[in-house]
Amino acid sequence: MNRFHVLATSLAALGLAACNSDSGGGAATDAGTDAAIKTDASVSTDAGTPPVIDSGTMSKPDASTVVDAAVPDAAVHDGGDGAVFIPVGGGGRAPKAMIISMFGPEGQVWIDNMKLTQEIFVPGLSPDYPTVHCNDDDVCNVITGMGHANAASSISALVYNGGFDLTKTVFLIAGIAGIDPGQGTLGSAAWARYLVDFGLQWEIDAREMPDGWPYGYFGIGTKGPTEKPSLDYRTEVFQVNEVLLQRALRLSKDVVLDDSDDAVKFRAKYGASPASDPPKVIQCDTAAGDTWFAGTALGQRARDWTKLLTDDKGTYCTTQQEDNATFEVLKRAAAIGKLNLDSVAVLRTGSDFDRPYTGQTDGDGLVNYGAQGGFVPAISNLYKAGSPLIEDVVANGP
Amino acid sequence: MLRTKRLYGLAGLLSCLVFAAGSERAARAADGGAAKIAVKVLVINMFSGEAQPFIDNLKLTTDVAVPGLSADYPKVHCNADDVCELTTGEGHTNVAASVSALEYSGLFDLTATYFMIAGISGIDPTQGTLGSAAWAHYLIDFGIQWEIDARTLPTGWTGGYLGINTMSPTEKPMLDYRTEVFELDPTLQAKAYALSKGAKLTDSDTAVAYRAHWDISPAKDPPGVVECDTAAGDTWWHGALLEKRAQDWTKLLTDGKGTYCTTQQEDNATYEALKRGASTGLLDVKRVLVLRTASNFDRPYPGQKPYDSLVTATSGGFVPSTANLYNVGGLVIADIVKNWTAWKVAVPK
Repeated sequence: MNRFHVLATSLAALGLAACNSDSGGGAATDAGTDAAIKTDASVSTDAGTPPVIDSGTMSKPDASTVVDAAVPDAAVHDGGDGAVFIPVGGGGRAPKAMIISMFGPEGQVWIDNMKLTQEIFVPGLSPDYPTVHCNDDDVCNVITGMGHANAASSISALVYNGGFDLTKTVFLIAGIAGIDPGQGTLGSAAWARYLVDFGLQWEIDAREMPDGWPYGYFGIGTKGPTEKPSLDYRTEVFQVNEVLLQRALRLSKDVVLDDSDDAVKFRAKYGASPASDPPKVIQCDTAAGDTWFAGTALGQRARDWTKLLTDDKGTYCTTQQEDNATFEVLKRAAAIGKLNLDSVAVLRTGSDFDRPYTGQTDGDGLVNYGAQGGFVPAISNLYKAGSPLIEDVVANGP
Repeated sequence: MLRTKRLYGLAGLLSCLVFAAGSERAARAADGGAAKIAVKVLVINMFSGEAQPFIDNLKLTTDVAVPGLSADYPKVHCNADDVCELTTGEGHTNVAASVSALEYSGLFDLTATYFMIAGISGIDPTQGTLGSAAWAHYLIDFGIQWEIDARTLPTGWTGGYLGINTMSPTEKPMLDYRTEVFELDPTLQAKAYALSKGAKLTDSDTAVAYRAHWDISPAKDPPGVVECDTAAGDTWWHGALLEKRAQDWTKLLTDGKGTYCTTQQEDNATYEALKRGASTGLLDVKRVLVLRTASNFDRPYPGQKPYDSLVTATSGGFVPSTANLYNVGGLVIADIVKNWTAWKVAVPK
């Protein structure tokens, strides 16, 4: 989940430059197919080597040319000083770990701390994030873009076009999220066992739903909110590998997490544990939906829906927009032998509460989420809680 | 930072050139080997009920197993005219995963392919009726929004949905996800409509009876072929209040140019995956058509409760809607196959 209000004020602190150079503005977003190329053209001020790049080159098929989907392993350079190379595809490289982030700041904390300075261009990634970053230990990071469509598209590009040997790679999905004050707080780091898709439901506006319903959401093809649907989409609920989950928990349970003065002040308004306590590493489950819900009633639906889809075994605590899409693509790739689905862990950190404190309205809690102070510690704690697992994988294998 | 960005661009360009060189080798090697299928039309359906009319009518009897497709639909179906059909599975996740698997499989030459997303949907009764077939110009993602429960609305809000990082439902959001709204090629869309507007549509007795509950056109009229836009969301909403949001959201994201009429769970994700494929040189994203036919209304008829309309009613729209995907889309496919020499180069005048 991206919290852009917060992002705007936090970029400087994180030492980041915005990558979304052409977001917003026009009505339709189909502004060409490769923003990387466009960005290039707009910043190419090097008079010595003018890169005359037609943005249509990538997208306009030439009927006489048969295009091969195989990824070449050629390296290219800038043609100027020849000092910087960006290979296209991994060339068979076998990452020990692949950290999956959804937007810039989530990736940058890994790039900075683990010195992921080697860039590899992968055809088909988001134009905002066209390269995978790696280090000498073969720890890598991919940034997918936000929402189900971007996550599934980017992970597909990675597994089919990346040129990586992923068969022994440990995957860590690591992103920020809204958090249930009944389970955690701002800055909490939650390892998920179950991934529940919140989006795949029926909905009737709560003002015209049947009498007595607590909310307007219910399972597709069911008669009401308490009936479990048949899982026809096959992406409604996933369980991650328990051994890897326990390993991640054991390695991270005692880490000291970051906090912020604003977060300390804001969480005090909740007046009860764990919302009002300092953040820690916890285990509870995550709900993915493109629609970023907030408030008491919809938060309760997330709790109930998680129980329903996990036969009471799961406990909802974080809300985000991608993880079931990411996991489904990894599952498809595992089914054809490209990777090991038992090597996937999911970490979500709380950047804001998913519902208001007592006395605050749903609307106020949502539109002013940026004032909660959780964004910076949540980003930082992705690394604090996730890096012990990554370091253990590097040292001891998957 | 600027330097790095420039190199992304060069890497992209070079990857294209290397692709091309590699493909020439592949083409030469393919003499006597397994050649790629140079697909004229790829029909993209979401589940078997949508696929079967195409498979049956177009005799798509050649099966091609594609690694990474849905476990429910592991094979693409093709015929001797190089018309192929992909069934993706439902929802944003499945379509993006399946379309990506197909385009990166290396089994198909998609460089000149026309893509026809063809599925059933809910329909706005002010724009169409059961069995209506709608060619979309804009694809709107309904899911990428903020939401609070509609019983707790701030003063002045008309519903619980609003753009992400906005202050109210009437404010247009930044398009940070890049998948919020897409515009299809108007020339191709107009050609598809012209070729199919006279299609003979299938209806059902149940649908005829159900439409009679409405007192407005076009809801109470027989189905037709129309041009209006489509909203994609994993959450399958129903009712007049959420329909109003779909109408308003479409206007907001298209600066007043689009008109919402059909609701479904996939098309922005399908388009995004195709757009990514286009960025690698595999296909032309201007060659995408979206056809949605109405299996049900998106809200109750006068006097009916939303719950009853969604859960308990039998509107009779399913059979006509699946049949009309082919009745309408098939006319366009037939023209593309018949006049391929022209279509291969560009949409014929």
